[in-house]
Amino acid sequence: MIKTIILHEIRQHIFSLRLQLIFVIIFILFILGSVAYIFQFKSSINDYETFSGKAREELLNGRNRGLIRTGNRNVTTIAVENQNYILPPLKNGFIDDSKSKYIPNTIQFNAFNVFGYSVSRRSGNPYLSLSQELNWYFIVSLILSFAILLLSFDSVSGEKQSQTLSLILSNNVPRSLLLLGKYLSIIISSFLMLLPGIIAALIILLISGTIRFDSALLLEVCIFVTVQILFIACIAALGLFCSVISRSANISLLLCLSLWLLFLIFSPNLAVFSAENLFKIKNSETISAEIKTVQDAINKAAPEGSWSMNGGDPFYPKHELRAKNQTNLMNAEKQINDEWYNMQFGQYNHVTIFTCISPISLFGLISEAITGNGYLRFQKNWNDFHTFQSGFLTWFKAIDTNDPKSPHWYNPYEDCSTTRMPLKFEEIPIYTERMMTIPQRLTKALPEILLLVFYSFLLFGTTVIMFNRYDVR
Amino acid sequence: MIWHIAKKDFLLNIFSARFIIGVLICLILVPFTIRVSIDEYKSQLRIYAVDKEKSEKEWKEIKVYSNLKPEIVKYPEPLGIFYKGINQNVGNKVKIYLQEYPFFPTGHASTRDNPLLNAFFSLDFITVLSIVLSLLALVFSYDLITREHEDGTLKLIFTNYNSRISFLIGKITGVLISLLPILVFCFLLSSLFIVLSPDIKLQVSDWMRVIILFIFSILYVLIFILAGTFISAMVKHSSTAIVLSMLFWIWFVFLWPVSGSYLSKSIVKIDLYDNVRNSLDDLDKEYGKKEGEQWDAIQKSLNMKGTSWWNATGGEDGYFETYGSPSETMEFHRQLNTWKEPVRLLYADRKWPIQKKYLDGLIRQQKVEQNLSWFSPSEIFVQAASCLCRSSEKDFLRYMDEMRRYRETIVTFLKEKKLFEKYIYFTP
Repeated sequence: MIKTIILHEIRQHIFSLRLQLIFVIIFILFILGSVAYIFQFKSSINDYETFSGKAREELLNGRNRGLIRTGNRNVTTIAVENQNYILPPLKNGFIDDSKSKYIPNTIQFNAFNVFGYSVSRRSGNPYLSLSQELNWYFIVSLILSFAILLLSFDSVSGEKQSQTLSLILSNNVPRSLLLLGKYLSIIISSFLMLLPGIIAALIILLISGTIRFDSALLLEVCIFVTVQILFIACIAALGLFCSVISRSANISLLLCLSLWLLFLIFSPNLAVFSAENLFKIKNSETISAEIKTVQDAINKAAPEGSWSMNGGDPFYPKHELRAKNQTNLMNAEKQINDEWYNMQFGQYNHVTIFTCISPISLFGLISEAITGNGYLRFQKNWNDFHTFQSGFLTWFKAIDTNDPKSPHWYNPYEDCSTTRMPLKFEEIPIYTERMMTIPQRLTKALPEILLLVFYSFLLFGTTVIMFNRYDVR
Repeated sequence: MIWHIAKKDFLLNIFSARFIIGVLICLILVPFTIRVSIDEYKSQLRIYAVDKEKSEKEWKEIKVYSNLKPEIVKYPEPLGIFYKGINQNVGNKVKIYLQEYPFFPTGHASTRDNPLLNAFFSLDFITVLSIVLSLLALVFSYDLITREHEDGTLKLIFTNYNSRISFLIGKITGVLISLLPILVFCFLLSSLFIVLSPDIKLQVSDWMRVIILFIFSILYVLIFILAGTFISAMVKHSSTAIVLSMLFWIWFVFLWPVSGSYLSKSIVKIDLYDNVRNSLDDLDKEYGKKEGEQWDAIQKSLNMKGTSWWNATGGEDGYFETYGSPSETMEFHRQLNTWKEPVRLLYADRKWPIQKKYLDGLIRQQKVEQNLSWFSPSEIFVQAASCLCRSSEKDFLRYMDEMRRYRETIVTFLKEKKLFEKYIYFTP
């Protein structure tokens, strides 16, 4: 029985104008997005290679910041130099880049500290309007969700208006079974609408040769496709729910669109609103003032000669005071900054919970976890950088300890009281990004996946109850 | 006759469920959106006050001309509450340097204190309006003709002496005046929020702009009503008309703007800014080498064996200040400044073409996006709003041109007064 209903509904969908038009739009978008992505990815990889080549060159030969001339390169200059690490472009950006251009993507560090993070100017053109990328996530979350609602809004109310519902139910068909059949047919039709686009996009990406498809990437694609079925199920349940609570197809459509708009607009605005009003954190001016106050106090309490320096003699006695003072300054700043960064992470995590009322945002969080991009990627790198920095410091101290020409007074900012041994470029510790493993990503996505499943069950369950009481006359 | 048709449609519409749902959507979205924008604006005002105070303090503490580096802090644009535009992507202050032309503002008044929150694209009033009004316009107009046709009333209407054109105009007017209360409600509500916020003060000219924005909104709604009517006239069934209307809406309001922006990034390639910065740093390096040679040459000409300073301090962009230093050190610096400051200005001129090339790339990319967006009524509306709210890229470019002219004024002043050659350039 259910098979007959599903096949009948799918056939009806396939021959409907709306499915055909949406299919064409989605197919075009997948192709357009893939072709544009190939150009952008190629260009960003070339740019990134030029940038990292220059960074390596600067690390070896010294850089010129402003008009300050750097001296000879040695182990200490490498250790104290403030370096920037920019997160490289990821090849899975065609699935979802999770707005990684707009969130922090640069980390400042040296051997003594991971100073902070920022959003690199490379992130794009400020003259362009802020918009999402034309990737799979965009197509599924925005266009497909809209298409599903267009497919489902009149599933019940439309049949009631055309008086076919009473005819169907005059047969020996349980209402729940009929609804389940309709529900499954919408899910299958939506997935079928998407599949050719995905296949075409994959073929284009494969043919281009720009993106190397390895097993990990293929697995990401498979998981994304699987999760999008869950998303389709949730939105289809929403469409059916709207169809059941109204008697006219027009009202169903308007309800569907209103909810869709609320999920799309209300959710990000709610995040910003709650950040400002419910989870307010200190602003940057307060932090700067706090740092200044603490540093002024340290400088005031520092013994005389703490700022003395003799570039030619590492053993100049006041270098020890200077190193101690600089370390105290750095630690004080680090403590305040780290606390502030943790507040920022906390604020982000709290407001993200608010966005979970929207299935579209929920799908965004799942997609971010699956691709290992966006905030999760940044946070992993941020944590990994702290491990790397402590290794970097250990490496530096090991060389310094073995140098009899060094007084071993560690100064986190200057090359004046530690080893001046030369070194080879190959010996410098270089940070390499380690992506989250697939099980780690799935673990991160699990709460959101469960919530999406819960929403689907809740919506469909409510729809079944309401449909059982639905007046079909 | 036109008025009769319009009045009938208006009365039918305002008691319809779609009107109530439309009002409800606006009632939820508009106050919330405006509240978020007002909060953001207040935060900008706070940052402006802090930056301004700091800048004025620094200005008052200037003792020597080598430290003459005014910092201009931009007052937040109050109309940004309606449409943020480019202001959300750029900083709020520009410092005037001799070694480089003003390029991009620094600071974060318009961006968020917590950069992680950039992941949430909060929508402003105009964007919400462009989405909601276009949707309502289509929902109200998609069945203007098809419904009459389906109900069989179309034939009845034309059996009288009604012309088809007056029927159409009446119908369109009916939908327009049905949507007007919603539009007025949105603008009044947002204006009320602004008036009730004590920190926000809009000038008369700003309110005039809001009124023009309102008129533009009516035109925008009219375009979508016409589109809906066109679709309704093209097809026979309301069910087909609604599907086509919705696809028209999603295409022009969501898809085309995103596709245009994405395609413009693929069509026009711009260099990585960090690589541009590296090219500028290379020129600094070249200059640094020359300065080193000149340093030695002047010391040699003055028969100095070394340089000793008293009470010396320095900073960015050639700032150097000393007092009580030996006279030969003072002379050394005078001669060095006489040579180096004009050379630094020349290097700024050499850097500018590199900056300009990058800037041109950005503008070219933006132009492609803009040209593509001409196909979308919602994008045209947003662009008109950005001009009215002084948050378009043209406003920003004009502002940066002004900053570069201001730098020229300072350079001319320093040159005309021959201050580089004087002791007061580096000693109070």
